[in-house]
Amino acid sequence: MNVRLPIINWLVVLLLLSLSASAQQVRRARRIVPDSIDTKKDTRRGPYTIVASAGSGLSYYSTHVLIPDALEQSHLSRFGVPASFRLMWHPDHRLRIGLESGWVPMYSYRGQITGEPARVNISVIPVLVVFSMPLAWLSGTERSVARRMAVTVGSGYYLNQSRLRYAGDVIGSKNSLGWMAAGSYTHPIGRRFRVAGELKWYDAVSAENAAFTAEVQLVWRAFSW
Amino acid sequence: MKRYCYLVPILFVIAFGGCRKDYEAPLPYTFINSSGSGRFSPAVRQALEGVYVVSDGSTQFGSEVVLKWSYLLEGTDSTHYLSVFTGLDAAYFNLEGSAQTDSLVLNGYWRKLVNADIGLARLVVQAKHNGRLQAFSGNLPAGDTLVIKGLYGAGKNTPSLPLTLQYRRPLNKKPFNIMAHRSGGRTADLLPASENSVAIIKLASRLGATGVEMDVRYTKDGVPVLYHDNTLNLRLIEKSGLTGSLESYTYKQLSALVRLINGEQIPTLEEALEAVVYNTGLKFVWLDTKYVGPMDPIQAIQQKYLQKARQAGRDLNIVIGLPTTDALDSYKALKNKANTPILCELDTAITRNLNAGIWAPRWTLGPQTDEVLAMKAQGRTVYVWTLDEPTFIEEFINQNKFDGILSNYSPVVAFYHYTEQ
Amino acid sequence: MTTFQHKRIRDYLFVVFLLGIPCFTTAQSVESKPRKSEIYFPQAPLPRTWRNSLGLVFTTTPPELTEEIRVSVPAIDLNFQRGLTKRLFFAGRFQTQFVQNNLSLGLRWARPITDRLAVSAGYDVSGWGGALKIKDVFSSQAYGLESMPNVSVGYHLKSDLRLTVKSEVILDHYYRSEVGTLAIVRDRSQVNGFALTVVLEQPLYNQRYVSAGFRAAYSNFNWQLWSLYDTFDRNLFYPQLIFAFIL
Repeated sequence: MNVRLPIINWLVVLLLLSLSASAQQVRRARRIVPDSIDTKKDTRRGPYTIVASAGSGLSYYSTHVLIPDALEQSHLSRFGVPASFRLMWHPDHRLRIGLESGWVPMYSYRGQITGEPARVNISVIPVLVVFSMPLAWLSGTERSVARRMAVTVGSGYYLNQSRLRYAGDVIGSKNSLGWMAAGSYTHPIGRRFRVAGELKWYDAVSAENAAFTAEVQLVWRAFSW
Repeated sequence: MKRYCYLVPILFVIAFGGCRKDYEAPLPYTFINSSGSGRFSPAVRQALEGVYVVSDGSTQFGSEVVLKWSYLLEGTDSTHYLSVFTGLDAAYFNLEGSAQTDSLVLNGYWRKLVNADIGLARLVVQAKHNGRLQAFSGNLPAGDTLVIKGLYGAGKNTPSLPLTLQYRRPLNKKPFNIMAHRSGGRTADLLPASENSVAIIKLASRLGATGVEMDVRYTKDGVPVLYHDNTLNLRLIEKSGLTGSLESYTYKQLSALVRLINGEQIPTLEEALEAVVYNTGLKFVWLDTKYVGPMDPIQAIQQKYLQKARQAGRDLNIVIGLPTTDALDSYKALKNKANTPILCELDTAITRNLNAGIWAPRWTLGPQTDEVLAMKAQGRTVYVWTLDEPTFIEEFINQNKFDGILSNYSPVVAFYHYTEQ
Repeated sequence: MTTFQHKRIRDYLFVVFLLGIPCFTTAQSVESKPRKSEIYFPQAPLPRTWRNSLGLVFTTTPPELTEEIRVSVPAIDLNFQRGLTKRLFFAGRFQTQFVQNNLSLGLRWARPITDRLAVSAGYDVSGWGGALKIKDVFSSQAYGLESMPNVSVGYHLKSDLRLTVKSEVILDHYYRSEVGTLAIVRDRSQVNGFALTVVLEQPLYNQRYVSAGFRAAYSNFNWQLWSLYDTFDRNLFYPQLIFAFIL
């Protein structure tokens, strides 16, 4: 079976690729009424837009923190000021795709270790692929608040960074997979610009770093085609 | 309809959320660790070692088990432990003699390494004379058989399920090196001590190991420590927030702020070898070269502890493992290679060029019978790593060509080796 | 017959079966356009028409197996479905990472409950195989057979958005692993685990529909990680991200 298994693997790949290709033949068939049929759609394409947004606000570290026992008179801070930016593609339907990055402070603690001061700062840089959907389909009417609200989810990598100041200065970093979920409300302030408020949950799973952020963002509809 | 729409983000959050189950196997038994053997004199211990048939308890532990004693030294005090190794689910027992003076009682726990099943065990050693059980005095007349009867339970519950072992034959005496990976076992196997810690080095013999493999790295200030991964991460250490490569931190920073997952400090190589020489009966240490850089400090420590072992009358070999071409270069850069036993994981040609005493290929290459026999014909020892699949462990041991196996499941290797006929 | 002959016959039957697949090929009816807007939603394609999607599935590796290296391994994901009757359809799925592949073939029966809600029940049989030959590292291969009985509930929201929740039980039937000249076989059928998939299907741009979703699998064994020789007798969490273009 030594040589045969890889051959069969490739045979399967080739057969199925040819299968997909050949399934495009057309021939007359008996008309059968299915359970439901799509009505003929308008095939004209709507506008596509590139939208960029940037924002900042407040972050709160929401998972457990373990301060090393050796640290005396320790002080922990869970708040920080994050920054995020997003580049999205708005096609002519509901689902939007884009990329998000930024910088999110997680937490910091300081104290003394046998008389020497020590300080640790943790932050993450997310690099995520995000999907966004406005909630207009909830109510279906044009003039509802819901059409300005959107849900965004994303997944990707987080660059976790730690900075230690004790008996030296060490900056360490490690990648971690993670996800993000957010809800936002966007309000137009001009033809090209909008302002948005967003509540986000960033979660760098394997580093067990997660934070809530509340941001105000400037949204710029860069160009359409 | 609106209700269903709200379900979407909720489902996403649930689905995306931390859905991983955290498994745990907390020890239900606290060892008394009293020194000396009590009623379990050397003669009794010697008689107890062997392959036993399981009558009650075979659905949990298989039809045959191996009983073997190991010990720990603290200064001149020695503490003895009895281990039972089984062939089912990598299950093992760790037992100690009870202080009771009227009978031979063993207390401890059992654990299945493949999952998190654990429980208490209490066993009594008796002799079967003319079909009847009676106390075992220490002498076993011809015709009598040793029978160990007792109870085991689940978790912290009082043992209530019967376990009966009857002596069948002595242990396989063929020399074989059962090496425990990461100084004793993997952190993910939920052992009571973290991998690459002094605590797990002291546990290794109880898991069936006759040797250990340690992962050596340098801190920023050049202190050799035991640590497997490239970075500080939550698999190995408690969450202090610190991340990045271990080599970025000095020993002072690590010893103050970093603790392994079970609370231990990251040990220095010297602390680890000190424990091996003076606290255990382990016969082999494999120093896996996880660092990139000069090998001289490691060589110096290797030679220092080989000397200490000799002075303490210990039968101990310490070898430096060469897993990569970088490690090979570091070894070649050593000025004086005398008294520096090495183990080569690379191919046979390189092993021959280096004149390494030990060749250690990966088990995923298969039994490689021709190459193995060729190496052994040249007087080299051949080990295989890191083999955990119980069925493959049995196959490799049955091949009868290898001199040892490195595994995360030393109890399984011990079982298949000692039961081999 | 010897085991070797059994093996040869099984291999030939497998190849013959594969060669027979093109017999199912084609037929797009000119009168009624086939639906190209869903793959996961529990509704059969028009009889004798195909419905396919091509995309990627990313599986995050569990720390017990890959330890420090936590990655999301991508696989090319091809779904191909063919309507058999009004409600019954054939559902196939091929996932490939080149050194290892998984082909799943099954039948599903779907029916609407209301004008928006639909359900389906199905049974898929999947065969997987992988081979690694890397100098000084691997001379191994493995293959196996699993089956997945599954149930899906789909909800067609307004504005062309379909939400589907699919639950599956994963059963193991056969596993064979070879290293060098040694081989072990496990052919006892047992429950491996279960999975829950949540997928949204909707148009992305112009007339192109996409499936985007998430599958949470809890299983003892995952075919993609066969080469890590998982010895943990525990259900590990395998999250998967799915994104595909419906062709």
